[in-house]
Amino acid sequence: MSSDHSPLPASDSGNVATGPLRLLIADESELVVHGVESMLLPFRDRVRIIDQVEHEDRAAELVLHDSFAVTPDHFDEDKALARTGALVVYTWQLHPTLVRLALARGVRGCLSKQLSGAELVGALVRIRRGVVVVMGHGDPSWKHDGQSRLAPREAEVLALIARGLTNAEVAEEMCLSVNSVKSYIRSSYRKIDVDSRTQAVLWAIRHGYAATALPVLLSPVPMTSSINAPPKGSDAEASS
Amino acid sequence: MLKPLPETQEALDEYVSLAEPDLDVRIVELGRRAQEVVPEVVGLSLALVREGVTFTLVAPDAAVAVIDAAQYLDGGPCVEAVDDPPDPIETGIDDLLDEGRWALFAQVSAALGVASSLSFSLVDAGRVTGGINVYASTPGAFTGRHEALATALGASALDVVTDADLGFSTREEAVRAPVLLRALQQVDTAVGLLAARFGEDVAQARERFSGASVRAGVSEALLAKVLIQLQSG
Repeated sequence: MSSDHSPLPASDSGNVATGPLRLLIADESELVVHGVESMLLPFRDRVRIIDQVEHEDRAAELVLHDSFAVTPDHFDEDKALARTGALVVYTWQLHPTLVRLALARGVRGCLSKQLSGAELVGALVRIRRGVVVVMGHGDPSWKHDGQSRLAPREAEVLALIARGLTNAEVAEEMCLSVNSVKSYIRSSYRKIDVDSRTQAVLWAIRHGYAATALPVLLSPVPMTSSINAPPKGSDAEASS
Repeated sequence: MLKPLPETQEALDEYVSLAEPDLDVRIVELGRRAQEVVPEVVGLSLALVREGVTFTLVAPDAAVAVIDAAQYLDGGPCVEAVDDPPDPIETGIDDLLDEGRWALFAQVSAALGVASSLSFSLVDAGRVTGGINVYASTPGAFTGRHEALATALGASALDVVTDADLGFSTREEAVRAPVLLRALQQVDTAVGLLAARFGEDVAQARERFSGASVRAGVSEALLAKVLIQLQSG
């Protein structure tokens, strides 16, 4: 996941944006745009759809786009990512491989077009807060690497754990009970074959469920040197 | 019925283990069994060696009575709230732990009501994995009941210690458990972040992390917190 993206208005730093979320539906058919507008009408106090005009995406907090659709490429995702850092894939094809690629590219979430209005709003609000959300509807699980099968909630819990949230904080973030969160943690541990939080965090990052944004740190040389001089050949050296 | 202390519930919320998926249920069941064998039981603590944390159950009635009595000794949250109604007091763990004025309150609330205790070790495959302390409101409550209690709790009756903790010190350990568990979680998370960052396995990353903590002269908990904050941007 690139670290060049501008932070969301409501980012991990805890600066929660206020007012209705400004949402742009990019490069979609009239049918879908009107359908989503209609679906979100009861939630207009939480989500406001802004017009799709050129450069309007600068004003959007989140941009919905069906990155996986086989259509002419009218919409410049990279541009949207660079401008808003808040692209959300909205698609019929919630295929795990595509999702993983999209997350690695820096999108903030992958949401199924089968979500209900309430589910969509809930997911968007969580994304606005900085949570990476992958959410399908009526599909309790989706395959990953042809082996593990993580439900969207399990994937989301792993992503939040990798951000350093406690179980209680994950529960609050996802509007779930702590027991549900613990249950998701255990089931995801079993599916990805780990038995510790350390391994789960490592797995989540390696599989694109969370970003690794650590700067140069903790090289084998003394701390003071490591901060100023990244080790040879490290990723940080390449990016700094 | 024995119930978890608020701090124990908080700690149980953060405790995740595939080997012990239902610890919250198990510990309450231990309390129920203890009271079944010895009705005078007013508290039970379960300590886990690997994590170094203690969970404690108390009888709600006893706890209320103890706190009610203790608050008059040195001023407590309820007394202060009554004396100064316009400024309601919020008492948290930190308040209780950090402020000396609560020391007596904490000690008395812990010790009152306990007249006998019994301590067991939990042994698995020849290794001590934990310990159970059971507390009763009457002296000698456990006399002649060691074996029955050990059987009920799944502990060994061979190395029982009587009245070793009449001060209910495990309760104080239980109060520290949430902070301890959250610190352990953060260290685990930080090590995972480092492993991903440097393409290492968990053992290597843990070594890197511990070494950095020592070199920098900061606690692992603090270092983990900093790393997670950096990760979050």
